[in-house]
Amino acid sequence: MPTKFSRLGFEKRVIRPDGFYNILLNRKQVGFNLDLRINYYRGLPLSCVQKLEVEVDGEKIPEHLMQFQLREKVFTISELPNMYREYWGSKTPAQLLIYNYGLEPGEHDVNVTLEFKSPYMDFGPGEYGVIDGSAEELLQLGTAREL
Amino acid sequence: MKNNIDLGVSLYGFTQRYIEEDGYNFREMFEDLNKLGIRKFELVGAQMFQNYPNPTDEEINEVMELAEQYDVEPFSYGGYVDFGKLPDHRMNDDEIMDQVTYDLMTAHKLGCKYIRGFGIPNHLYERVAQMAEFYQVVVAYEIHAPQRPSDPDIQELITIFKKLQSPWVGFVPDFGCYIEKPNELHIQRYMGLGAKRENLQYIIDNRWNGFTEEQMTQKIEEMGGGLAEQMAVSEWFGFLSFAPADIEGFKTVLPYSKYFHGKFYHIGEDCVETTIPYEELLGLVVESGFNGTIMIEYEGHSFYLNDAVEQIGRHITMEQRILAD
Repeated sequence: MPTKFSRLGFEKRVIRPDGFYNILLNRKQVGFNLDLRINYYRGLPLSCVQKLEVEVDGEKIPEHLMQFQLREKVFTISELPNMYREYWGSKTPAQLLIYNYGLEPGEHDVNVTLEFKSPYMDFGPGEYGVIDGSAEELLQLGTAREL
Repeated sequence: MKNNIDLGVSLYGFTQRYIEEDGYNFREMFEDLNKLGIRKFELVGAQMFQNYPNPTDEEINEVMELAEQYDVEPFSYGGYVDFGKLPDHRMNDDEIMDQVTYDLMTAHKLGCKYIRGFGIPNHLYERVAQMAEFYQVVVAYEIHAPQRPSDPDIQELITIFKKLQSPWVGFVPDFGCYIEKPNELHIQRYMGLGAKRENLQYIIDNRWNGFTEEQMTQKIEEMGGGLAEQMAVSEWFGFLSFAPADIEGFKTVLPYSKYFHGKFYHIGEDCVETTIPYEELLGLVVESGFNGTIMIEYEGHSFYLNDAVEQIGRHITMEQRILAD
């Protein structure tokens, strides 16, 4: 049997201050951006994302407020399991766009739950190894940017 | 030992810096190959191409231009079949062949002579051999822990290779299959995550006493073990499995071996490997008349010590000493 449960030690790569800032549309604050990277030794097809949840300061962001952007393409969270032709590379940040009118300036506790299935480790029909790519950081909100 | 064997280095060995540092890319890895005095390298597509399994021309060209500049050679391409990536079913044979073909296309563009195959079922090797011949790239099935060469599916593949008589398919045996005992650094890593040494020792002592992975997980839970012990069970029954080395099995795959993965996890200043019987394995490789490459694959990045160049350097010293004796 291959290894069923993995959590690698690259969690500092997952969320970083340089990808955490409010977003503006027509100079009006509409939400915030959170860059995400994979905590794994290789990249993964987007369809491997099984769970993606974000909490800021203990408050869960509703899924319908989030859009997931990889390079030029944008997806809803519920679309991700079908995106097997899209590849989330090991060094490529994805952007979560969260339309919650933004965050207060200062420090925030950002907690991301990110779980992948491993697409090459199976343990029976439909059962795959699990990679826990979650991370939590206290982050200083960066300067707001126009989308 | 009189032989015609050379050494390469898998860029996978540089995983820690590659993943952690934005500024550590192909240029920096090739500089490290130069430092190590190594020309041939393996590139794992799923790791180092940001558009796998179909890297862009720009990605391929970057590798080719830098390889020329640093006088290094793409020797083998680490392929995968991500058979579980489809939303509604496990890949069927045709879908798997598409993935193999994508990897062959990339290997061909890079000028690699070999693909490390992973996840290709035995019964497809006849089709694989044909496509490999089209692209003039050998597809080698990686025999990787926790597999052992004596396993029935590996022996079945030998029968298939015998029948096919194709130079375009074969094995790449990974020396990680012959780990005889866990590395002390692994034990310390689990302890760092909260595991108790006595629980880890129990798993080690009873790894081959009839426990399944599930039974061992349950037993360790009963003994008060937590997530760290659960991870140890998962890894020691999985890719970090250990057992008395399957030397007889190793002999049976040698006639079909195209190149080797010189896997290792840690080597001390004395340049002596203590968990994998390299002297015996390399001795058998030489005896078999093998002419080719041992692709060194450092996997000690799982300890996060950021010591790949030093570790690979020591391992090279060890292999060169054994091969020169």
